[in-house]
Amino acid sequence: MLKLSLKMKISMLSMFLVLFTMQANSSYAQRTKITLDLNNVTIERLIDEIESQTDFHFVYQIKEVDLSRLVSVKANKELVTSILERIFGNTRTTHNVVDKQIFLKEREPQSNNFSPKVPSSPIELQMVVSGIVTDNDGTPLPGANVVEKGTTNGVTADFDGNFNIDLEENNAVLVVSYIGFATKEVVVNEKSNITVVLEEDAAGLDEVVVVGYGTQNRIDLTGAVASVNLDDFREAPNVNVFQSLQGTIPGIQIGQVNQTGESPSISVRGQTTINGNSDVLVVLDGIIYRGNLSDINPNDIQSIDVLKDASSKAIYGAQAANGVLLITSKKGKTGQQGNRINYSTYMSIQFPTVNASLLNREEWIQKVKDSQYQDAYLGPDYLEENPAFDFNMTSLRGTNLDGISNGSNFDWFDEATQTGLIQNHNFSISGANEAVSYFVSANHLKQDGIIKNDTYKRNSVRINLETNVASWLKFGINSFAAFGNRSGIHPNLSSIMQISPVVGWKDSDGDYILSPLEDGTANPFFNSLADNEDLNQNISGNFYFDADIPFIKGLNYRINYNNSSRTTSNFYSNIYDNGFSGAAFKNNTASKEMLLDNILTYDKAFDDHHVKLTLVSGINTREYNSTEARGQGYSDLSLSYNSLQQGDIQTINSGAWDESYVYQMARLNYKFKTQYLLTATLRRDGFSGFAPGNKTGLFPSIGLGWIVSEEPFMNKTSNNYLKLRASYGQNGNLTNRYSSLATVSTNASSYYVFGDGVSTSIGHNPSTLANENLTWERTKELNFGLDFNVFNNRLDGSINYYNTNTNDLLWDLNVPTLTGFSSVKTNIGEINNKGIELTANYQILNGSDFTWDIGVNFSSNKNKVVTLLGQDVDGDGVEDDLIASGLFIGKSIGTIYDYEVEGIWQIDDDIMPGFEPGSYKIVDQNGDGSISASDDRVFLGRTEPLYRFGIQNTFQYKDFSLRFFINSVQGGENGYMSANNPYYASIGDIQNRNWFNSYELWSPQNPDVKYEAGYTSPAVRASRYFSRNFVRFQDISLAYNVPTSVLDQLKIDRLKLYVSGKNLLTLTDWDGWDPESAQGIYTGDNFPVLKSITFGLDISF
Amino acid sequence: MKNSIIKIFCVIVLFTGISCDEDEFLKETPLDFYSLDTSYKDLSQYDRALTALYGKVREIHFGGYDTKYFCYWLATDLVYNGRENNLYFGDYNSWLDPTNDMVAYHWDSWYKIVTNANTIIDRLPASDLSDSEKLMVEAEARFFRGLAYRYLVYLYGGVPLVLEEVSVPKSDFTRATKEEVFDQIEIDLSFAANNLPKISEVQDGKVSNLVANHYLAEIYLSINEFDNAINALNVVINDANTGLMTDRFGVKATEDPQDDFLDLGPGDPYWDLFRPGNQNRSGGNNEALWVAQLEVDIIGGGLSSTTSQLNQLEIWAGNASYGSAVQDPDGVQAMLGLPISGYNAGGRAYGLIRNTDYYLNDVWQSDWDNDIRNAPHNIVREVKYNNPNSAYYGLSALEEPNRSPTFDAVTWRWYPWPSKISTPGEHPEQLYQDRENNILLGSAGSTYRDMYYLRLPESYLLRAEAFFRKGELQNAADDINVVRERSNAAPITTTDVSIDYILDERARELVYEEFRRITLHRLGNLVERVRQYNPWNGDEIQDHHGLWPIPFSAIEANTNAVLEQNPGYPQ
Repeated sequence: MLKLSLKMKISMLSMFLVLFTMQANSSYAQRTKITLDLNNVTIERLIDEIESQTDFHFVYQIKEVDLSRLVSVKANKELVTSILERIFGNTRTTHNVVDKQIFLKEREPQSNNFSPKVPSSPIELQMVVSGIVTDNDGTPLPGANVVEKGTTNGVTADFDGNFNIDLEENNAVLVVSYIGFATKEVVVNEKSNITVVLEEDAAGLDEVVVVGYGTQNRIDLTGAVASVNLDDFREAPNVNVFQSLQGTIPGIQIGQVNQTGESPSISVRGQTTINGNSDVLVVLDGIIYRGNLSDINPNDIQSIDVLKDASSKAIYGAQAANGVLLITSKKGKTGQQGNRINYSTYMSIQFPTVNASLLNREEWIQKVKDSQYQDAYLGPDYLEENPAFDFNMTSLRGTNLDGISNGSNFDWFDEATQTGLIQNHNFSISGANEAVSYFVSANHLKQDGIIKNDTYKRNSVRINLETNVASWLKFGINSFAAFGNRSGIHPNLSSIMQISPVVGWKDSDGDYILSPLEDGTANPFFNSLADNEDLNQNISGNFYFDADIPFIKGLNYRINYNNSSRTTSNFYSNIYDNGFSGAAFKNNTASKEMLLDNILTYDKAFDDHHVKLTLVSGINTREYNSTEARGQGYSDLSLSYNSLQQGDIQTINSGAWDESYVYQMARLNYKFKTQYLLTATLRRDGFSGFAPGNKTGLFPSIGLGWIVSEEPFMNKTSNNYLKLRASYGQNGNLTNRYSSLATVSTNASSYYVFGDGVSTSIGHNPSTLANENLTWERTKELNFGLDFNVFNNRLDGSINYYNTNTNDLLWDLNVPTLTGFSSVKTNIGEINNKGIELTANYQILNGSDFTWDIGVNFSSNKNKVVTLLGQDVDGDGVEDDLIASGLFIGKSIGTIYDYEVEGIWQIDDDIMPGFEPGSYKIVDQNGDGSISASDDRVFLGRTEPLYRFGIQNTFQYKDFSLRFFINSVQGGENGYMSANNPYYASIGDIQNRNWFNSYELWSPQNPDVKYEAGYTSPAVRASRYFSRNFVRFQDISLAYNVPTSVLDQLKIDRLKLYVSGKNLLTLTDWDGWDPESAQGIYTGDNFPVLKSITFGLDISF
Repeated sequence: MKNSIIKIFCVIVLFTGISCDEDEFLKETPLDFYSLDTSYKDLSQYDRALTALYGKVREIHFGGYDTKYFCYWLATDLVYNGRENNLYFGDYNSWLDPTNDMVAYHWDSWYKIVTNANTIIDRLPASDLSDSEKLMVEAEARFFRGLAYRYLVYLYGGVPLVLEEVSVPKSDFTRATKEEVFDQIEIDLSFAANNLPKISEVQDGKVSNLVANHYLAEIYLSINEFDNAINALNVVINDANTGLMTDRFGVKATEDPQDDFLDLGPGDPYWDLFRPGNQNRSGGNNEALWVAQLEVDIIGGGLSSTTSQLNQLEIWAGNASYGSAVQDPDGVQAMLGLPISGYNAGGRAYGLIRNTDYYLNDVWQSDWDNDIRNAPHNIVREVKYNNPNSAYYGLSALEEPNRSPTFDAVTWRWYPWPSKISTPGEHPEQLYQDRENNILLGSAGSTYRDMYYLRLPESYLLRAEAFFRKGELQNAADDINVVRERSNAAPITTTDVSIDYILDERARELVYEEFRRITLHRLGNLVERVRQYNPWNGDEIQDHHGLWPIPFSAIEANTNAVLEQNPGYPQ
């Protein structure tokens, strides 16, 4: 079968060539003669034989042709047409030859408009247009409808997406449509060969959506499920697939990444937990995925669906409160015949979004003087330089003093950085036929970060295979292996940022200086001289068995069995470590996961009722163990980390944990007539991490849908679609394993050595308080939704409103340390989230050559603490806040309750005791002349934003497409704020160290600045909070699809060339690295957010 | 074919469908840590629990390079911020704030000792231990609980009494009175004094009945029970296994202090007390009562040759004369700029805290030349240029006309220092980058020896205090003279005896040993003496600073009752 498919593929390519030059070749059938001698072979074999000897290509649908009929053929240099006449002449199959295509069809009355009207003679072909309908990737779309506009004249595309239509008018317009894709109109314009590429329609009503333990048509959904339009971001250099979601789906927040191979943070809707797990649940091909998100090759992903409301999430019960992301990997597409080979590659160059640099020599020297202005300048106003000032009077170290006098100026940051580069190569081959479908891919990615030695490499392979053993039974495997490599250690970035520019990294001989400041702190570059191997392996196999139970129509049983194994190995040695005495270690971890699902579905329609019942029973186990051996003090490290036993001090550590889950789920989908929908779910979950007696929980949900546009009173002739949804459900949130237990820990501070020259005594002490009542955090959510598709498919979208209450919050309750503990894991309180999400797509222009689509999404969430401990100790009739934990009744979780800064104390001011010039002037709210935590803190704002929006524009002109995407987060009044503080240190450190020049600190010459001087030590240290609002031109891409007229000659299906930019422009008032990553001016171990320019190509055969 | 598939299918359904024992499947068993219920059963487990108390108490006193730790010495009449800025307890108003980390650290840490001891005491009755073992373990646990309340009551005043293991969250604590806390300490320390082993029977580093008796006596003084105090101290002083070291002893018993630049006196027993290896009884030391154990590069030893760990007293209290910024009168670099183990260049020090003039000058006036504790190797009062490139090489950097201008411009570059904060010439071998020239690694900076919690002279001086307050002046003078005699200082008479004089003697004998802040809090004269003797904190200290504030975090988390704040602090 494979062989056949390959050949068909190649012949299809040649067919394009042929059709393009149709007149010249129309007589091919009348001159091609072959010789055959076949005895008792199947029709299939015969087709194979003819195709192998000629350029003919057979087009048929399997069910219409009896391929297993046995025939015998003897022919000696006979015309193919006459052979065909002999074989099919009197059977139920007709044949028609159009140039090199041989159509086989079932012989039946041609009542259907949508069937090929095959001309009876090639000579009458002037009015015929041939073509192919494909999706964005070039995969043919079999069964696509092609209709001549304004007529009833139409055909359906065959299995390879090919169509032939006999036009009634010369300059007709073809309307091409396909389930799940946006309908497209094509002007024929006297062309005889047309390639129609249909865009996937994200809001397509017939689209199939993955909903967990099965799929559903979007039209039948009762909950809020969003599908990600991955195609819009295929041209961005997203190492991690979730970066494609950034800003594109309302209600989903994806964090920034700024280090190589890093996974972004993901959250869905508002914050529903305080101390509970806040990770979104990721389900990959039906299996809960807890591995590194960076291990997933973005090119392998077919679709991502997001379950947002409680009723949709309820099928994952206890783990679903933070949202569920369902990822489906690619498969060999049914309907696709032959292999499809794809190669894509891109190269991306990256730069920081902010061009920051460290204080240079002059700026740094000025900073030293500013920090000791009392000596460096003359009082009382310290504006005039003190001629008697000498740097010897400062806390500068000798090397810095030398550096000042010898004129050194070294740019540490520049030395530590480079231009970032990502190179990605992806190869895949896929195919499908009635017995087997497969998708195989290989990926190689190499990312060099902008910090030297910050690298990430990934090699991954995937094999998805499914085989139909019988018409009712299939087996399959979805498997992948990912090999990540983060070897190499980048220079210590915070040290780089903090070391002075007047000392250097190497001496005049080119050797590294051990301690440039001679303070015992190692040269920041020593980290990067380590011998390091940092690898991770992720191997996962998902084996399934899927049977339509014979004799009971509609009953299906499926088993999913998954086993994943993940290992990491981190080996290290560095002779400069450990005070230049050398250190080395080997660290190995291994984790194993097993999941087994039994899924029984029964799907049946009777009269107006359509019932689908799903029952699931499953278990899930996880195990982890780690071992680390470490040595310090090596006289010879030439064997690196492979002879740890040579170290003077040797330490070993090991750890392990396990946890288990058991669950059962029942779901009923019920549809009455075509417009009334109901989904009801009940899930029971058990998790080992809760206290005995509280290990299991029940999570119910219900969803209702009403497709208003299907009602008889609506005008059914229009294409409008309108659905109202309402749902209610409960989800849970897990605690960490072992968190209900009282534990005893042993750690270094409890070890002791009694006497001289004796061995260590190990100590232990209680470390956590038990909570025998610890149970699930419960989230209850009400969701109302409206889905619409109006103006003839030109405007579609949906609106969701939700109201979520989470109670029994898993929470680290601060307890007085008088108990011996600082906190205890407990269930308390309630928080509420309300929000609205809107998404809309509008086709502004829909010409044949030029289209313009705009997609907008908007979301807003309001978060509120409803109740906490329910105590009113102060007796004011209102429940008490938990100020120690920063939680206030009626306010959001991210409420900022802190000191209000009204400027900076100046030299001439009458300064409050405990403060000094250059430190923040805190508002004395109660006017008692001093600042105290209990009286002088006020509500300054909150960290949560007010709203987020994204705007996607897509333009297409002929073979060019241009996309750009704008992403923004806005705080409204006092929202989306974060502290942005300078580097605080003792005056000695302030003088000897360095920071970025992107902001100004207070000094007598510079009194009116935003930021206080970092060396002050006021009685009360206040933070200043600033808005992080931003508008980011996050993605822009220009792609060129090389026209098929060119490609056909090269026997290429599809070739796309593109250039794209990411994060090219960010508009914000936030100082420092990036508002979205909340990295400000503090000179610590912060990595900048990157912008990038990417060049890529994508080719399919 | 079809039938066989159905058969297999049935088997699979049966296999996967069988219900497992759900309770067993979801049972949680810790794999790499202990659970509380199984960790307090046998004697070795109680030994571990007690060991942890030693570890944590050592950390509170000798913790790492952090502004929290040396506060038992810093900002008193003996020691102040060497850099003369707001850092390192440089300003009482900003440091003694209820939100200050240092204030919370000591509260939290001592209560962790209390609660860990409570767990031991509460779980003993149900343990597998024999009655005598139970008694021994309880005595040691009660000692630590008493010790913790001693620090808490002196630092913070009457604090909440927590005497049982807390197994459910509790947030309704209220303060006990000072007297109630003293009573509880008396109960615990009496129990310990009666049941702890003799000093000759305990391992080095462990507490004995004598240690309990000393602290018990201190509590008796605080509640004005002078006879009880004297009796308890008699137990300590009269013990046949204790006595002041009046003769040379230990690892350097036959050697004199050496330095390449400075002229030092002949060795003496006081100098021997601070040589590495000489602190424990096993090192021949009979006056050590309780010693904090510190070992280099051994897990649990607290010291490391490569990273900053405990007891960084050398860095803090030593001056920074080794810096390359030090100039001679010609403006040439005068010091080598390398941390050198020795008396001249003082190890690897930063000069963050230093002694007051009261300690450096006032207390020595009567016996400047004869008191061995003021010998040039015990308090280093000289520094010489050690850079061969300087024309002044080998000359005093302090004396005119050769005095280094740096030392006038930057006072923390050099000041006199008690040599017990360092181990001149005796740093551990692995800390030298150049052994021949005594050049240390950049990771040096600790005081690399065991540290005294309690030494017999303190017991004599405490008994002197008891005799004085009881009115037995001759006995008081006699006790003080025992200490003075060993150091070749002139004896005093009854007319000399006063609390102030006892504090002077404590300063001479016990600088950087005695936790001076606790003593002054106990005596209630911290504020007065800081005003009198501390040149940096004297101006700003206020009357209420004699007690620390209750940490704001403690008040805030105690949601079901009110913990009253100490007077003078923001509520």
